[in-house]
Amino acid sequence: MTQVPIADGLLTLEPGPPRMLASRCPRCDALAFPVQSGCARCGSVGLETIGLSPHGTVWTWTSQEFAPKSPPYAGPETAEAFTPYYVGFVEVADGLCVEARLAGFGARKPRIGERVTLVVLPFRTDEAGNEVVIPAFTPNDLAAPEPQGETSA
Amino acid sequence: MPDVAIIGVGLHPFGRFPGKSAIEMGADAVRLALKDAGIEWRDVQFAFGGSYEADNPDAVVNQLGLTGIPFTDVYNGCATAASALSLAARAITSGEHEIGVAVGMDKHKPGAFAADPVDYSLPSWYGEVGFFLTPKFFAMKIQRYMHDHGISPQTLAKVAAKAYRNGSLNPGAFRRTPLAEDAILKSRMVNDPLTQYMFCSPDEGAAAVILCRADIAARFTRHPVYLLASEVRTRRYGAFEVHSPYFPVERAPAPTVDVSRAAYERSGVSPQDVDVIQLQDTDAGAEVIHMAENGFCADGDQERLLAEGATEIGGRLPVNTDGGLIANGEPIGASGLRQVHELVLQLRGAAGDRQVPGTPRVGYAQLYGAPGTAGVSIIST
Repeated sequence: MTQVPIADGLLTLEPGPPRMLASRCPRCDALAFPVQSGCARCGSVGLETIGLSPHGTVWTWTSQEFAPKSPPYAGPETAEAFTPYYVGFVEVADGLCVEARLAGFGARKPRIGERVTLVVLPFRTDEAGNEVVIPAFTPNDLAAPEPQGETSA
Repeated sequence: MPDVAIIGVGLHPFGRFPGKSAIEMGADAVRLALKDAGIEWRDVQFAFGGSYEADNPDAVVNQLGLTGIPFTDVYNGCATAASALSLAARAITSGEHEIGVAVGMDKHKPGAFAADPVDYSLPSWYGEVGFFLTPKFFAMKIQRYMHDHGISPQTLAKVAAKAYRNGSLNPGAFRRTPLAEDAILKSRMVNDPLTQYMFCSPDEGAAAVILCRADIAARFTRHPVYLLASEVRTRRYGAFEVHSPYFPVERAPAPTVDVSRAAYERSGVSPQDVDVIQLQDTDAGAEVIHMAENGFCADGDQERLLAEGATEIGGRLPVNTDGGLIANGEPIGASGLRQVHELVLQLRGAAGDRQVPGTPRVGYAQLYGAPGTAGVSIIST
């Protein structure tokens, strides 16, 4: 099944490991995530898109223990079948903290300061049969994450 | 002499009122404020009305009297009421008017607020994946704050227990049943570390404040309360904010810090001068953080201050004496004017069972919320 990011300007799946995308201002170097049209610091337009480091540390986290209202939530499950998940801000080497799901922690909670790596999570299947994926960070102390997808095949 | 006085306050209780519209609640709040000031609607020269759910707060005039005055509707996220008050004060200090009203009203459905992220300059995916929620932001902010500054879950429970205890003394509160710290800690986890009873709920209600030029306040009351500052600020690049998917490691202060400094500067008041405090307690963690962001303590001191009971009604830093948002809920348009209503009662010595002892002279109210907007008002006898 082909994997596709849930939206443009958020995530690139190739080449190499997945990376989250950000905007860099050519005038003041300010970063913004995800990709946006105007600089959040100086208002410049014509921002460049960069791929962020897939490695980082957990800056903060929480658990989402109730089903978000739908819309806008577009997860495949019903409110009754909703499974709580972790979400957090991860500080990546580029000097930015970005918000993403935190996954693969098993029975334990995430820890502030622990090292994590970007993976993608299947979220739903689109009309064309593609697997729609979202970014998530997974702890480095687990076994190496499984290879993500066959998109380059 | 200060420029602006508060001569009347009115509050429609906060809670659930089936069959009663936000507009009707707003009209009731204005009537109560008019009665408190001893004036009639026809004496009012202008108004600012705030609401999230009511498209047209101006519709209160249909029930109060169609007098043709300028009436401006305001919506500014969780700082809506602070914006209405701030604009009303400036309509007086500009010399345009002498007497006006700031009124706020709302009627929310139960549950966390829902909206379209695109209207917040956010991509659709942010809502699709379940990120467009305010409770998880507050949880992540206090999670990091507890880690950095040694705040315990027990302290969060103490904040919430105080809110319910103070709410039980307030006939206008939504939640008036005291809750033990243990029951708060053991209630359903919503967003770690925040449990169900550590959060406020969106609800219904209205509040109104009548302002006049300070030099004519003596016509209406022998005990005016002066509005020394009413400021609003938005987030700067680098702040860690609700509904923002990123922030740079090079942080900027929260908008509450900026607006607090601006209000202290305008009023000439310092944190040590404040006798009664109202803080945005969207959740118990927000109250803890806002104590420091507004200059009432250093980061981390809250653990000791809560253990000592410093923020109780009889403590040296009374915070949210009417139960705050946790016990009153949050009708967005009215919430900040409910804070001012409480401060005015406290400064008049008219707060009944929840009266702060002594003779409180200076009151401070802070709002914060989506989309990264904060307001601070400072009042004084």
